[in-house]
Amino acid sequence: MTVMITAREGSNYLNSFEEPHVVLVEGKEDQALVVALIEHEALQGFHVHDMIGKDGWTGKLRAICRVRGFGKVVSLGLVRDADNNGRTAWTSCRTSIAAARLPLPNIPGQLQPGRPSVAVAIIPGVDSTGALEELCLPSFQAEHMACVDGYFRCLASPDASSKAIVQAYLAGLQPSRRDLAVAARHRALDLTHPTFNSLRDLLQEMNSA
Amino acid sequence: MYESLQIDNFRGLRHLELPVLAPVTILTGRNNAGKTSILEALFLHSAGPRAAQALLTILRPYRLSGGGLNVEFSRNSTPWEMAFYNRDPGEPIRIVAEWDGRQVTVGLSVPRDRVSGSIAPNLQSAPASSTSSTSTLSALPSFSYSMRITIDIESRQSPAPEHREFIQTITAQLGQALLGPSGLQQTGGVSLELKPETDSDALILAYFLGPQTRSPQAELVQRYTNIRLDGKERLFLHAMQAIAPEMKKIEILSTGTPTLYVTFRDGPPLPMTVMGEGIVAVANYAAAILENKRGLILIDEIENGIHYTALERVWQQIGRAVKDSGAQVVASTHSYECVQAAYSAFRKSPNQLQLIQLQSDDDSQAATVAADYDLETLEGALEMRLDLR
Repeated sequence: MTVMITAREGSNYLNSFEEPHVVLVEGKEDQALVVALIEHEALQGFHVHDMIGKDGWTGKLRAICRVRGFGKVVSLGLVRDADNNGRTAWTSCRTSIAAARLPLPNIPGQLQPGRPSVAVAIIPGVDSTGALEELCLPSFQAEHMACVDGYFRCLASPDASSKAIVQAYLAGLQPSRRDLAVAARHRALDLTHPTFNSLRDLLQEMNSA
Repeated sequence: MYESLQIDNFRGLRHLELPVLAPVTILTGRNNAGKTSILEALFLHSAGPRAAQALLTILRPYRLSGGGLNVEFSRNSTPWEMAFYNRDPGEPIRIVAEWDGRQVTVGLSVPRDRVSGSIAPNLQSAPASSTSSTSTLSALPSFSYSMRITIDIESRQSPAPEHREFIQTITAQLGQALLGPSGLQQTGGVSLELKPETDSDALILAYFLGPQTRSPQAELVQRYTNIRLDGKERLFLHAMQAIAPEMKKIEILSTGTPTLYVTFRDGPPLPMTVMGEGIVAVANYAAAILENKRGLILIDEIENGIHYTALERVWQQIGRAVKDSGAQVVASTHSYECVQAAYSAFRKSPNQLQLIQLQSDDDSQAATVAADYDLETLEGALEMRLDLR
């Protein structure tokens, strides 16, 4: 199997890792995007696991290290939202990695060699704020975004959140898409856009590990 | 309290380390992963000078046959062999534990002259009633099998390590047998005698409770009596109410044999012997923990007979009983619900619970490794639905 997906709502228990590359994400939308990128790049041997939110990653990462088959994992990627502060998210990931006694990356987006090699990607960037929406927004078609901006101006809400803008954009697609997870699954995102380069590069690097 | 454990050459375990044991430790893992073997290793270790006796009580064929021991009568094998890794007594069993700040090593080995007695002389002297293919033996062979037990204790306080050594021998007398074309066929029970009897105490008093080894009623009555004398009967009742909330009273009544009776609401007292499996199981657990102060309680398949909705309350009561008595509980389970319930019961007591999942080693499938989960790691695993069984 090219990509294994686990911990999605209603999925069975995660019993073991069978793939050499494991990507940990904090939600189903990030999971769908990472899977879409892996498939778009025709990468092999990935397991994308939903950590069910951003809380408790220290305990969760230690638990991940105890899953059967983890000893055969070659590369491990952690994908986290920057939220209010990308540097804080980066530091939080490093704290969890250190607590799990895994190789500790020193530079965001770069694999720290070891067994397994470990990397952290902060989206949209370690020096940014925001989450998946901020990463994806630049990839949306400019002419359609002009319409979305007009829509919010019409509503007299010029400070619409990224989430609201993304939802308005996705709702206007033909066919409409409920959220980024659905859009990613149906390849309604332009995955060739440079905004995804850092994430793409990380997956490529993991694939080569 | 046992703080860590290392097991070598015991049962199916070539080498296994359990770095952390908590006041309550749960063992999980697939069939034949070694959960029961760990309980048995702890039982042997706690027995110390009485390890040979303990070994006889836990040998699986003994437990399964309800009293008989399926001894293989051969000059090349001993009944102890089933306890050794690959049934090879050439390598000693070694169980090392950190226990109350001391490192205590219990070793079991079979001396070179491990078997005395022989089949041939006995058979020659045995009058046999022959048929065409088999002979029924009336004078039956007996064999003696020796076991060396060593105990080494190292302590930070005492620079000189303590070393003790015992040799005990079981003599097995076959009750009934046939001599057939394939050799001696055991058809009856075996009487066993262990000598010399040791006058040394066990290192720690341990109770081993399993689906096939619930305490006899007399033992339960004795334990409840001790609990009653200690004034802890309310704790015992609360533990029982975890599985039977309508239970109002527990008492010992005698209509010949003293028996534990329970009363539900305003009904008549009912003997514990007629209760369901879950109630009897919880009675066994609670009595063992409350009575065995600072002792060790080993429970195999703890969830057996207990409805999943009662599991969290049962764990809560186990936690209370453990805190009260200072006993340590090590329990195995196959149930995810049981693990979830334990987490819920202990989530506000971070150092009380540890889960150890036995897995095949990723590099060598033949070896067993222990994945240990403290409370925080367990919470993460449960939230992500990682398979902990």
